[in-house]
Amino acid sequence: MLTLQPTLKRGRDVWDPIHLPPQEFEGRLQRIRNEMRNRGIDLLFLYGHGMNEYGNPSYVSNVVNKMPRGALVICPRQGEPVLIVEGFPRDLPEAKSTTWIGDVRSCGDISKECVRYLREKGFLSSTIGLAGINPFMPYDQFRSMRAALKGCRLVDCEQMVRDLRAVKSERECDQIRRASRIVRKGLESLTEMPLQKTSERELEAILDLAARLEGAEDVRIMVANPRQPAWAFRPTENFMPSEAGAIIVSMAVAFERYWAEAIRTYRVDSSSLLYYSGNSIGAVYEKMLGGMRPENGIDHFCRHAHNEIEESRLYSLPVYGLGNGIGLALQEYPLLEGGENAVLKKAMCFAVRLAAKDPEIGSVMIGDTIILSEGGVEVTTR
Amino acid sequence: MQRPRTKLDRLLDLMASRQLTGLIVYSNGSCDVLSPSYLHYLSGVRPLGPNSAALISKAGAALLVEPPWDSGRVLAKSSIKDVRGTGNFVQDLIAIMRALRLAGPVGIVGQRQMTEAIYSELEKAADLKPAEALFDELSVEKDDKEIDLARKAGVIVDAGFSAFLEHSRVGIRECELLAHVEYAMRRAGADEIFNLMSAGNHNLAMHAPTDRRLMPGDTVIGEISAACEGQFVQVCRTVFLGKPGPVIIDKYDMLRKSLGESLRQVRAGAPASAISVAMNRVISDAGYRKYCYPPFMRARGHGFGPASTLPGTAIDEETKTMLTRNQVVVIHPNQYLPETGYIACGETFLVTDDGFKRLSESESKLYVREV
Repeated sequence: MLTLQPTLKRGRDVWDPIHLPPQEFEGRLQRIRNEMRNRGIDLLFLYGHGMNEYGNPSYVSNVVNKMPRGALVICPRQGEPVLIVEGFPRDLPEAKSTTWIGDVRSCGDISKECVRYLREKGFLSSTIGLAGINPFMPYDQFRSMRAALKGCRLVDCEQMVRDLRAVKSERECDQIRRASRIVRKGLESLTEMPLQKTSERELEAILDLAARLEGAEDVRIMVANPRQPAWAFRPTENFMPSEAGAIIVSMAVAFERYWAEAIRTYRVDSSSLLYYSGNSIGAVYEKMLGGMRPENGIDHFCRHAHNEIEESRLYSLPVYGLGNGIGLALQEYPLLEGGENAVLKKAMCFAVRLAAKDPEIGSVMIGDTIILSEGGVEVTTR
Repeated sequence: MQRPRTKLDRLLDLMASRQLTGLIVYSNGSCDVLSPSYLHYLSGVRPLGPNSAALISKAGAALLVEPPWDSGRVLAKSSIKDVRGTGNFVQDLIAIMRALRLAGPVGIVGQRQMTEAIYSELEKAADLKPAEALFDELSVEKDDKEIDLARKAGVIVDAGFSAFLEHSRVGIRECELLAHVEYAMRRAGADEIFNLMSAGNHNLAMHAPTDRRLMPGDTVIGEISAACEGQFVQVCRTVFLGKPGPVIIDKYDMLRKSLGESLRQVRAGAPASAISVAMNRVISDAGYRKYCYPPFMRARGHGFGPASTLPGTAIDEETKTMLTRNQVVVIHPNQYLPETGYIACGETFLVTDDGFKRLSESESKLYVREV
């Protein structure tokens, strides 16, 4: 789910080398290098920008952007990778403490530092694979880098890196389970809170505190009032859920880089919130999840889900889609939408969701984080 | 009776003075404490992203919002009332440019957040001129509403510091301490928070919180910043856990003296560089001249305003601008010293004709928590 971006990632920032040892990252690097070899690529640029799109460089370095700045990992086919982070020199020790990569550089403009590195290593006439540069790099840096790489052959590697990131290792799945646990506890806790005179913003403050005490790195909350005819997710306000009668809450948590997200609908009952699932959405949702099996095409899954919705005569609300990949980004590939060519695979992780009209409270929405296994889905947020 | 002049009216005047036929103000949804959120400042709405832009010409003003489902929220809050949702940002942006007759020289603001895919299309459609300076001019002097918001943000950072002081205790993890601080700030009404800290017996710099548990003898430093509807205010504070030794007491007094000396320079019309000169003089006179420059400090202060440091990201001895009435500035002699490590001291002020007004109430001093 799209959310407001914070001005700083303010939560716990650590690297747990017991759970994610250097070997985990070396394994990822090896898979990347196998693909580079197949494509005749000498160097791969893994670029990310800001607090939503840090996934590419973090995939091999574990470093996360804490402000709206860029980070770049340059992976040579042979030799050590280098990590370049935009920021102040004072931030360098912090970056070094959360990565296994030895060569970490800080700079004000990543494109210039990147070119300096290429010149230093004699790479200015190489075949270079690009991931994240086109979609995320600010245009002025993009132009400066492109001009400096005139002598290089540039290869689009977006899809290659998306495919590698989409299938998670067992350790990555565990990170998502840990993030999911925080989300689950947070959303459950809403049913135990006294609601009188508690505004949406106070609810958010309570959820945020609980998640951060559990070690969350980033917490994002969005809410909606399903009784409003044209409702949409929005940041919390000073409105009282007790007056609205119902509320939809989307909670997303990042734990040591990895995200989980869930959505729940609540009905106000005297002085507390109760889970609300309406009459038929729960059954349709379960059938939808039942259609998520490894080796099924995503397009096929989406048609299956829409058939289930149609047969149940559920008046679904398609605005927020059926879901998307989740992991090092809150929204990553593949998307669960018709026309998507990708095939579901074991150890892919998704944020799934379904919204529908409801005769009692206007609308109802449910969403979870799931991990695909051979037997079907593991719902990690319930 | 004449209608009061709005930001948009003033912006149109500034555009005319620079022969701009139009203006595009872009945001990718990020909120950067070191770079102004121009679109938020102009429209009054914090963009959700990934793409939003205001288009302004004499023919009218429109606000284009992606994703389209966010347009209802934006319309309810925006000062620009022609709000359009889009699922195809570039195509719709260019269509609106044509409708508003943005053709000749068009000012562009926030372009450093644009990717090549967006900028290259705009470049084909108009003669783009960087125009961020218009906003520097527009926003340097805060209006009454903005000053009220800054005061409210001052109350929030005080609440944050109270929690920082209360929860700075032996055994608590850094991440838990900041979680409590943030909770207090959210409950006090913060829209956005920028908190950094460090704890230890010799801090090198502030950073995001870790699992480290606070220990007796730690110096706990915090940079506590809150925004209220886009207006940021900050305090920088130091708490000592245990009985502080004479060295840290002495060094902190030096920082307080340097803050006091720099405040003597603050008034509308005075050079901003005087803040840095006065501060560095006190610290240099104590024998720490070499420590008055990066990496031992970052900046002696900066402007604070629309979710950013506008109109100046760092006040130093070379800063050329003059202080302006109703400008908001942070002044902080935050400093690494070899004997104490990094210590934090500073707060946010409103510049007045004859001096300044404090925007927060907690005192800039060395705080002590007994253990």
